[in-house]
Amino acid sequence: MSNDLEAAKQGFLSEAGDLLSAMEDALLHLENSPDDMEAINAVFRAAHTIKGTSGVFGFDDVVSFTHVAESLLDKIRDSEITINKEIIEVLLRSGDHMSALVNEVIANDNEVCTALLETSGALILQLNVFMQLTPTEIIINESTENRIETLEGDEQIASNNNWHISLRFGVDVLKQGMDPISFVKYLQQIGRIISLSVLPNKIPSLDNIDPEACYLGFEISFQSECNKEEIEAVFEFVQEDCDIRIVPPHSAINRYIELIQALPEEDELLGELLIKSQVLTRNELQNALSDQQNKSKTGADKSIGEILVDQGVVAQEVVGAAVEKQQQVRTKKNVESRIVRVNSNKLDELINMVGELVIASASASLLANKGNNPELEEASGLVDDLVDSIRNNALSLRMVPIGETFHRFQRVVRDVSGQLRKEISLVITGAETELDKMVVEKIGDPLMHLVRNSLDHGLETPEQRIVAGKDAQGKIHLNAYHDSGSIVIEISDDGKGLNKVLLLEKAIAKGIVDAEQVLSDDDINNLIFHPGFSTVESVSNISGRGVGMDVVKRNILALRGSIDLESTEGEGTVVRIRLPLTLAIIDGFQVGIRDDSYVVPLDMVIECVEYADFNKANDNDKSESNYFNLRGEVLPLVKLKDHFNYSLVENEQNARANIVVVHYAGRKAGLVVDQLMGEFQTVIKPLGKLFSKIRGIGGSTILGSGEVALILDVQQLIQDASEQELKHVS
Amino acid sequence: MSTDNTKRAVLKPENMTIYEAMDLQALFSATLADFKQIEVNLSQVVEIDSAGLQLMVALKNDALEQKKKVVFTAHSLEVIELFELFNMTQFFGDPVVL
Repeated sequence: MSNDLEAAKQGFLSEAGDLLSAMEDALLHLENSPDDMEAINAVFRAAHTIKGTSGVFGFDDVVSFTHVAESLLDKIRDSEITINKEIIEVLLRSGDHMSALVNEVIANDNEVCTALLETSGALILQLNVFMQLTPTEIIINESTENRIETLEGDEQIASNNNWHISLRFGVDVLKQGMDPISFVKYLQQIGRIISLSVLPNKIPSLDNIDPEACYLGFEISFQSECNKEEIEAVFEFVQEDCDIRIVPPHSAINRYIELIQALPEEDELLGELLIKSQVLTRNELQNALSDQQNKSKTGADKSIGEILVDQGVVAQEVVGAAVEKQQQVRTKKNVESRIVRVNSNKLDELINMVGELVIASASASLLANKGNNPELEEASGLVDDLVDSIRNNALSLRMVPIGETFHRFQRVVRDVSGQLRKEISLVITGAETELDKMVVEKIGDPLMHLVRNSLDHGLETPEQRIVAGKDAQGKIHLNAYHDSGSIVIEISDDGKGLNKVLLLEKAIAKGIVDAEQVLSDDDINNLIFHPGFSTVESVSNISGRGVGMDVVKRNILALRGSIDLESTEGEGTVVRIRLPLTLAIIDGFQVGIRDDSYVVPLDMVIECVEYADFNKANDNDKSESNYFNLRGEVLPLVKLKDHFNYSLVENEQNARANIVVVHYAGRKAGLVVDQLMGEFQTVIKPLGKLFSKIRGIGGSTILGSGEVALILDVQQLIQDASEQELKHVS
Repeated sequence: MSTDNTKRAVLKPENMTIYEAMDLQALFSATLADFKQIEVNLSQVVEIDSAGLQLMVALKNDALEQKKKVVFTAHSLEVIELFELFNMTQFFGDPVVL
């Protein structure tokens, strides 16, 4: 198989994915507002495009299944069937099935396993029930020929309903400021143009043409709910100059014959066009024309539907449909060309290179500053600025809004609440918040777990909620926002909250905590992140196996993030995940302790103050004090020198000390360092496993001088500071 | 200038609406008189209406009659849209490149 085809298939796969998720969104939307035509159209478009593209690739199993769904959707669109919950349910499952089918045919080279075909059959049965079809008309396990025949059968019915419009525009139409284009476009709005042919033969040669006159004629086959007056009204402004004939659907053949003879073009030509518009068959036309000549009336009471059974027309129809589909694919491509799909490996490579560039330019600017050459310094300053913007741009390439991840949960919430017989609505805010693509991919599973937990354990059944005096419908809220260099994702529900007594009992029973231990409310709540902890007596198939929350926590920690939980019994639970915005390069603030450099993420730094108490404190023997009076506020201090066990050196008190005030997750602390060295673009390099036990170090980076600096893990340091504070108090 | 059979003309019209129709007609017929092969590059066409389309048809028809060759190339999005609306792609028979 050629590579082009393979690439096209992969393209189809991703397109189908997008379409199906759009279809799912639209269906979920329809559940609440079933009258939204736009959403119905979106669902129809998705099914139609998938069917069309599958047809081009020859994926017959996808086509035959999607066709049934599409037919139903068409009926819904034409308001023959009203959409309801059951239909949406089946359509949702059909969407899932289409996705499975498409994946299957692409992975297995157009082979579909029997299990999927059985599902197709079952779903088709259900879909047909809505269309009130008898089971004999169902297309399963039939030979390909049969399939096509049934397909053709449907097209016949559609053709039956077509209006036929013959337009001959007046010569002065263009001069009057009207253009046939707009009429055709307007027709598209009030119905569907099944086929359209332009009659160009009245256009004279270049020498004789009046460039401002209109010579165009049209034969249009048109499907619409409008009546004749409404269609005529379209041409109201040009009626006087133009020859407009409208033949209603279900007309007998001789109406068309009359039309053919009434119009100025040759009979044969118009006949050809009518065949092209699939109104008449060639035989029927010939018969009719000769009948007409014989003044026989045999053709008169035959309806078009009967004529169309002819094989030739049907074959043309199939071709016509294929062309239409190709055009749709093309239109879509035009829209997509504004977006370039890039292999993520290439992006990663780019980011890596930018990282190296940052380090190299830092080294260059260091040398430039030493060189005492003002021009060189200026040039290197400019390079630094440019590198800075390249870095920002490169990183933003990887940023994607979290909305897509959030929207996936609409379906989960809907399905699970159905299974659990709970009424739950999902509220999404902050969907436009951006974060690194890699983080988005890795956050999906933990989020899913947390949402399911909320659905299963957090929210009560409607009866329980009413007893508790709440709205019968429970609410899950997904929220995301940026906060000091991290993104915060909140999953909150207004359910029953955590039962602290039960939690503590369980923890004691499992030996996780001692019975005498005094724990704060937060500590108790966060016990559920402990491995092997589950409070639910019965394990449901949604959650509660007790393997979840610790895995969630581990995954989040692996992304250098943190997770915590707030819960008020009876009122609900909020789980808050904090993640770094990017995993590659950050703005850092460089500080020094003795000869070593450390980097604090700049986003977490609030201010720097001089540690004025330092010398005084020594005199008064208060050097053990771990607090600082920051404008009347108590600021816990982390003395990095003590924290990292630097040995004492004589005469140290002469050195000045500074405090870097940092904040994380709403808590503040001061880091006591020797020197402040300023801002610095930091390319994060991971630390080896060997160093994973060192508390307070999050990674390393390379300075312009080639030296290594350690990146401080502010979250951990703040935690340590508050723990010490607690110890001090107790 | 007499008809030169070997020469090939490339036209690159901008908008093709009724406002430009007079000029276009003059341009098309002058070019057709002088050249045997004409390429009309449509990449710059941002606006096109029925008048422009008619001139394209006339040029094509005249060329066929005189056994000359006219190709339309690099159809802009607007031209493609109009062709699709009117089902004219086949009439011109030029390859439409996306």
